[in-house]
Amino acid sequence: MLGYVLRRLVATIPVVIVVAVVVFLLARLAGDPASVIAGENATAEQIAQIRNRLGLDQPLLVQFARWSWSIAHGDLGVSIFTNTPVAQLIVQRIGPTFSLAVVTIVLAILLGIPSGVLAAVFVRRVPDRVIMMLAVAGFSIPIFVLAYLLILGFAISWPILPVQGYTPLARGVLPWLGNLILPGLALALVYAALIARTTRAALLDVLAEDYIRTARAKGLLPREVVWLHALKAASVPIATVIGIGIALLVGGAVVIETVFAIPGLGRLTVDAIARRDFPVIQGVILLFSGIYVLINLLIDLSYTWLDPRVRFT
Amino acid sequence: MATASALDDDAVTHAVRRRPAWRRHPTVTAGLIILGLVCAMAIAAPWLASIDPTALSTAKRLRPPSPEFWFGTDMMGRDVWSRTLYGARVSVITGLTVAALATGIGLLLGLLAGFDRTIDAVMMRIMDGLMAIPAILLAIALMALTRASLGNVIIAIVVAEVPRVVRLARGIVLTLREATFVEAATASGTGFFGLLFRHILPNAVAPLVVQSTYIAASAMITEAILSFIGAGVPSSTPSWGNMMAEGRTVFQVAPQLVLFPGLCLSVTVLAINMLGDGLRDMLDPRLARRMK
Repeated sequence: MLGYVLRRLVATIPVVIVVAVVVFLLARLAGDPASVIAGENATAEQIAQIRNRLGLDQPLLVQFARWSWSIAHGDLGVSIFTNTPVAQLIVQRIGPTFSLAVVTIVLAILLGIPSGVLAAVFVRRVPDRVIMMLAVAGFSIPIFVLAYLLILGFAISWPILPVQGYTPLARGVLPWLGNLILPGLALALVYAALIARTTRAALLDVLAEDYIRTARAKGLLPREVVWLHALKAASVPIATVIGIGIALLVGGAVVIETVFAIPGLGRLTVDAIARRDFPVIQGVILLFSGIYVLINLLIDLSYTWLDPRVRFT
Repeated sequence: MATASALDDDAVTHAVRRRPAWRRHPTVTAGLIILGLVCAMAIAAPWLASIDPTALSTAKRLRPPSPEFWFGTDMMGRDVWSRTLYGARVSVITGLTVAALATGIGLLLGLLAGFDRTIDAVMMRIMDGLMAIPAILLAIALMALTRASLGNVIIAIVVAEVPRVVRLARGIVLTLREATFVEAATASGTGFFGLLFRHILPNAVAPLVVQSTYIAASAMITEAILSFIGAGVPSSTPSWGNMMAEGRTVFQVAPQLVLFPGLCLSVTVLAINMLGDGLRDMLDPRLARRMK
């Protein structure tokens, strides 16, 4: 088991290095930071001075080492537009995005796993067909289209929820949830479709195993067999797909926050695109990629607990 | 008991087999028909659109759908029906080009990785790293570096999609290299290129074709998202994403401005996904049986 954990930890290192190199190169391609900082009317000497101060005249490898060093210390650079540290901007905006992510993941799991189980239990029958059709639709309707349909349905035609905006959790759970239900649902449906499909496929594999027949033969109730025995054994692919879906969630958050005017990291990114504020975009990418790698590492490590077989490999 | 039901299954399969191909795979047929219509819309846009999609008419702003303006007009008085038709062009071009480029490049890199251990080790680490960056953010970053243009959007999406194809292609090559028929071919003296073109590639076509349909669908969504948040095709080009971005400010009074392009995009993507799922069942019976 220790071997497995160590192997997984070591395997994360090259991924982190590649992400860092890619983001660093993107930042360098974004143009000469010195001329941006110096402003439009700067002389060549002034630019050269700034280049020297920022270490931009050093070899690329030295620059990369310095850059990584400051990233590792939480220094993500300074926004070109607002002149505030990117790390500070991120901290200001992370609350709404984190709330949205939590609501989305909870909704996606609550919708996805039971639908997948239902589809597997009623395989090739009506519930299965209906759920799988909904899953294909869930994959196909882009989240922002779905978002507008939900707004039209539950905020305009039948106004039971706010059209847009965000209320911090500190001002009460209900107002907070009221603002997050529609965006969370719009984001969660694709994710739930993915989880439902995987749950169904994984459960079908497990239900064909000998020990399930044994469990049935010894007189366990069908629901005990499915929900306790089979689902536990099917949990590894389900956990994996939940981890992979985080990438989906991040991409979706950028759009959903725009649609619902939620002042989170997605909104920060979209504003940064309009202002060509590359340090901010870079900071958000680093943060989200880091979270993605970390969550997937944790999920891989959870296999040791979900599936005893992993412990001995 | 088990044998009886197996026999029944065989009988059913037999009856199903005798139907013509288009009836045996209804999802493929339906997907192809819808996609055919969308492509026809895109190609015939200049003839189907009665009004210039960029013509402004301040006197006729925000008109509801009518016989004159089928989908109404937007806040600048432009004809939404014409813009939707021209928007189909952007989506179709993006979907097809990205699918072709990403599959082609991905296959090439995947083959390299599948045949050489050193390349494999290095390339797969790079691909793992690229896949850790959420695809939309990677595309956004690439678009932030360049000018807004359809070509740049396509390149940005291809870069974000390629790692997944490389993974798939490499996996196929590694599995096939272990297969008995490949071993037999090697033993009987088949050269590298014979092995590649006669044994490996023909067996890699089916899964890659299926994958490329999903890439086309995801590319269309990504293009619309990029355009919607202002990092896609220039706002002067009518695209479904641009139209939704412009319509969102007046969504409460004229929801059709967002919903018409949005529903067109959804139906197109649904058709591609149906085609993809159908092709998967058709081309890969093993996987189909597992997924059914």
